[in-house]
Amino acid sequence: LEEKELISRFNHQKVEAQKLLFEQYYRKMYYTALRYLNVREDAEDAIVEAFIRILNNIGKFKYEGEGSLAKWIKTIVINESFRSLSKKKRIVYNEDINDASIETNEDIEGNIDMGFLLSLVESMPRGYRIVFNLYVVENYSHKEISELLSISVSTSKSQLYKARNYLMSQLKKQRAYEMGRY
Amino acid sequence: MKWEDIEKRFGDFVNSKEVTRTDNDSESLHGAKIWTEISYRMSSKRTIWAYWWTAASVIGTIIIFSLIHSSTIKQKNSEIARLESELIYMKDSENKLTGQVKQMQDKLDLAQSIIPENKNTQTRTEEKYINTSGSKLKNVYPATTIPDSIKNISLEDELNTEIYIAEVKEPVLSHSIMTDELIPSTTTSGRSVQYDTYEKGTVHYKIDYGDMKSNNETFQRSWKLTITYP
Repeated sequence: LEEKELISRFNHQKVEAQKLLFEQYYRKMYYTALRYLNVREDAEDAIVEAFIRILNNIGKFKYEGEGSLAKWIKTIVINESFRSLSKKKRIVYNEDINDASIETNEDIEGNIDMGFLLSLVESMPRGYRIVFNLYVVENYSHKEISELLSISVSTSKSQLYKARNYLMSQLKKQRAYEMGRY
Repeated sequence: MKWEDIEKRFGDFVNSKEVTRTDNDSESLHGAKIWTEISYRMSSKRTIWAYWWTAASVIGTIIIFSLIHSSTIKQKNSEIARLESELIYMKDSENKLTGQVKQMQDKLDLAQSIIPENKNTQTRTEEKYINTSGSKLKNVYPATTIPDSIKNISLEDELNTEIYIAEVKEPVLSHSIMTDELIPSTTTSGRSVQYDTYEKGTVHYKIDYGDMKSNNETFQRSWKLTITYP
C-alpha cells in the first residue's frame, strides 16, 4: 500500500488504518530497533512505545512524497530505541584513537560476505556499533548523530573511525585465516 | 574492494534483510503479539484519559458551581450591605428631616407667637349710614371695634362725592370697597365706586354719587371696606 493511500485512510477508517500501518512497517522497524538494542525484549518494548507515539501523532505528520512516512517512522523508532537504551545503560564512547592501525582507504581483496560483516558489526562494542549503524545504514550525518546521542561531532567521527578499523582488522584476520587454510 | 563500497553494500544489505527476514509464520505471530500490546496500551491510555477527563469535568463543574455560588453569596452580601447602607442613609435623612420639621415647627410656633393672629388676613367690615342733608357721617360701630392695624377712617365729604381714607399701619395685600348694600331710595342711579390711590399705608376711595345728593333726598347707604394683609 502506498504511503499516500495509507495516510488518507486515517481520515475515515482510523482503526483499520492503524493496523495497516503497523503491519506494513513493524517488521522493518523491529529489526531496526533490534540493531541498536541487541535484546529482543528491549526491541519489542521500544517498538510498542514507538508505534503508540506514531499512531497518536500521525495527524501531525506532513506527507512530502513517497518514502517520507517510512523515514518519519524510522526516526521515531530510532529515537525510542535510544531513549530505551539510555534508560538502561549509559553508553560509553571510547575517545582513544591511538590504537588505529589500519587506514580506511585500504582496499579489501576479494568478495565480502555481508552476513559475516553483519555478525562482526553486531559483535562490536556498543559505542562503535551505534555510530556505525547510524552513519552507514541510516545515512545520518555526524551532526545528526551528535544531536541524537548528545555527543560531540568529533566523538561521532572517532567512533566511526574505530568501528571501521575494527571491522577492517577483523576482515583482514578472517582473510588471512582463509588464506592459511587453503 | 574499496571500503566505501563495502559500507554501501552493507547498508543496502541490512535494509533489504530487515524486510525479508521476517516473512514467516513465527514472525507474524510475533507481530500480532506486539499489535495486541499496542492496542491494549492505547485503549488503556484512552480509558485512563477518559477517567481523568471525567474526573476533571466533575471537579471543574464543582469548582464552577462553587464559584457561582460564592459569587451569588458575595453579590447577595454586597446587596445586603448596600441596602443596609441605604437604610442607614435613609434613617439619617429621616432624622435630619425630622429635625428640620421640628426646627420649622419651632420657627412657625415662634412666628405665630410673635405675629398677632389677625395679622395675616384682616377682614373688616365697616358700615356707614350717610345722611344727605349734610356731611354727617354716622358711624354705627364704637371706635374700639376698629382694629389696631387701621389707624383711622375719615370721610371727606364733598358735594356729590365722598372720599374715605383708611390709614393702615403696614402695607396691604389687597383692598376693596363695596357699596352693594346700598339701601336705595327713589333714585339710586349714577352711583359709582372708584379706587383712587394707595400709597404708604393709606387706602383712599373716592365715591362719586353724581347728582344723587343734589336731589336732596334722604337715603341710607352702607359700605364695606375689606383690607387683606400679606
